[in-house]
Amino acid sequence: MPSLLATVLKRLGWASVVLAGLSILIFSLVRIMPGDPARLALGPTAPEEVVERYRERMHYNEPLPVQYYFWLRQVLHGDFGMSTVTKRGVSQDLAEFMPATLELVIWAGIPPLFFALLLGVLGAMYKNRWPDYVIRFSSYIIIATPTFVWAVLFLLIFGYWLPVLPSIGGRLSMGLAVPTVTGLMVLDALIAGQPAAAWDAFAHLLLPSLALSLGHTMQEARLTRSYMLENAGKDYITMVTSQGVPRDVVNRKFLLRPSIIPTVSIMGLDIAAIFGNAFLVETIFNWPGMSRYAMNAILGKDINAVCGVVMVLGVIFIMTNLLVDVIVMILDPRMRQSRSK
Amino acid sequence: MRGMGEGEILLDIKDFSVSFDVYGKKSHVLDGITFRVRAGERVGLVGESGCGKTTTLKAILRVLPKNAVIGGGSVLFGGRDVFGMARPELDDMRRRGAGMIFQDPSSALNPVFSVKSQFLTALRYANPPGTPKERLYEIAAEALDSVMLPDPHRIMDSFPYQLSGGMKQRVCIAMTIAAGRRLLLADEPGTSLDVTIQDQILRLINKLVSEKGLSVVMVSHSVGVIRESTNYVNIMYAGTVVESGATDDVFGNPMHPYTTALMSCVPKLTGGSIAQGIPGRVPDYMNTPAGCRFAPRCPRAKGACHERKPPHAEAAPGHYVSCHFASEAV
Repeated sequence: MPSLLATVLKRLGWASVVLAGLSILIFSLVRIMPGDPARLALGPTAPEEVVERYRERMHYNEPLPVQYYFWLRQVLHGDFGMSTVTKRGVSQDLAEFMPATLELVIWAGIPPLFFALLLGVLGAMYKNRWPDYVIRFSSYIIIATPTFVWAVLFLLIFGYWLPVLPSIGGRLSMGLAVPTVTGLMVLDALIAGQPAAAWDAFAHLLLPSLALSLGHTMQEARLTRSYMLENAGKDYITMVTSQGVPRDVVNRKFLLRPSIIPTVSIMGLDIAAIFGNAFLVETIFNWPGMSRYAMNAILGKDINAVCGVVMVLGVIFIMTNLLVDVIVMILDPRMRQSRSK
Repeated sequence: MRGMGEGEILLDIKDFSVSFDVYGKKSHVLDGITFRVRAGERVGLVGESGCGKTTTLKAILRVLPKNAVIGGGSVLFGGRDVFGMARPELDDMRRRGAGMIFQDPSSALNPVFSVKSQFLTALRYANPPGTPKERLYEIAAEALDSVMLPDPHRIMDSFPYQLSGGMKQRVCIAMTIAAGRRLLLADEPGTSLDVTIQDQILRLINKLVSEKGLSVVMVSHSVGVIRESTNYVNIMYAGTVVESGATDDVFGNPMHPYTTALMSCVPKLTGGSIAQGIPGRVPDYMNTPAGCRFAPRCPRAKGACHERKPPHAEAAPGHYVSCHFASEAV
């Protein structure tokens, strides 16, 4: 598929334009916001000449475009500057906190997609019979309940009333340690050949990722169901049925693929929402991810940290959507055509 | 043209009625349809949009929408009731007996599968189990060649969006004839295409039908198309057959007021103004007239027309009309 590769390269080109725009936007926004970053970094008691020297060193006195030039030159070398809150390199902080968030989002985003498709197909197969009613009714409740309510509820049920799952936070139980390879704890534990630690890490992930995934999973299930039912009435399904193709082949092959394409595309957008909700869930579950770091950065007007977090999230979001688009292009030949024209 | 009464009866629809459940209400679409197709015969179904032509074809293959309810009567294919068939028999009828060509080829082909994938899946079930894939591919390529598509191999590797409307319709026709079906159900096969392509498609179907000795039910709202390509015709109005007989007889001597009206709608090259059309609309199927369904629009309707359904009676040899006043000259 040469057109697929060409499309990916073109999309990567566009992605760099988008990231450039995002960087200008966030860079300007954090500097336009009221509050003196130098004073906030050094505290209210620091002498004025020290603060002034700090401003000079951080180029805060230069015009914005010049500041942006210095910042961008750093960023392109993988250096987001110093965090004024942690007094460490932002890149170092991101490397520490980002994998925890990423792992949470991956677990909340990918395995539930299969459940969503399964529930959607079940609902369509048993349209207006009890399995469909159960799925539809529960989906209303689940979608309408905010993520943080599920998080608190799960903590209460599985951490307090039925203490079967870890609830005091963290990614591993006390006394366990796993060498970092990918930063994704379950994977790292498996790589290190520690199945017990992998299971422990999974147990820690279960409640927060479940809380994070419920809403969008049910939304995707509803979407799949309605596309299945809509497509079931299309001529191309009637046609293969009328040709004597067995019903399970019709459903599994000719009905399923066109019906899951919209769900898969929507999932790419859902990833952004999952990141947003992850901030709340991390706080509730005391998950050592990005949320506290980003909150402190925003409150402390930690310019470099805010820019770093936003840029990394931007890159992740763009890559996720590119990946989803590639999957959609593999599923739907029409997408290959219209993009490469 | 060949006369009636020869050849085995392939399709026999008797007093067949279908209604649809629409939000708890019943929409009575087909009301006692009766007609036959003999081997080698070309039968037309003519009528306005929404008169139940497509529903009739879908009923023959038992692919009616889920909310359809059979009101009575029967559809016999090769002497067996389609709606009483067990699954294997039904599958066999669909695979080798009758096949449908849909009105809109763009929606009849699955947009996300290649022609090859769709064609070979259909052929796999229509051929003896274990037929090698290469053989199926050959059959498909031959069929594509016989519908005059250039470069069958390129067509096989194409996706529907890469083909023009006319090409897609040819692919659909090829899929229907490739399995050796005996009855072709053509649902306005050119309507969604432009006029020159429409003509080519109709010619193609006529050619294939006469070459292979197939039977065909040709559905159209165009009197001209039906006149040209059938030897027997059923004029349908609002889910009823109002007039039937040899095509030449029916159009040469129309006896039902609806047939007369339909024919006067055909624009002529000679003569002044645009055809006038038939005043009024097809009746509401939720609330059909008690008597003749055409009565509300009929210029000749009298008391009896609004009270009793007219019988489908033989008004001239082999020429049937459903009208209380068929014998009165038009």
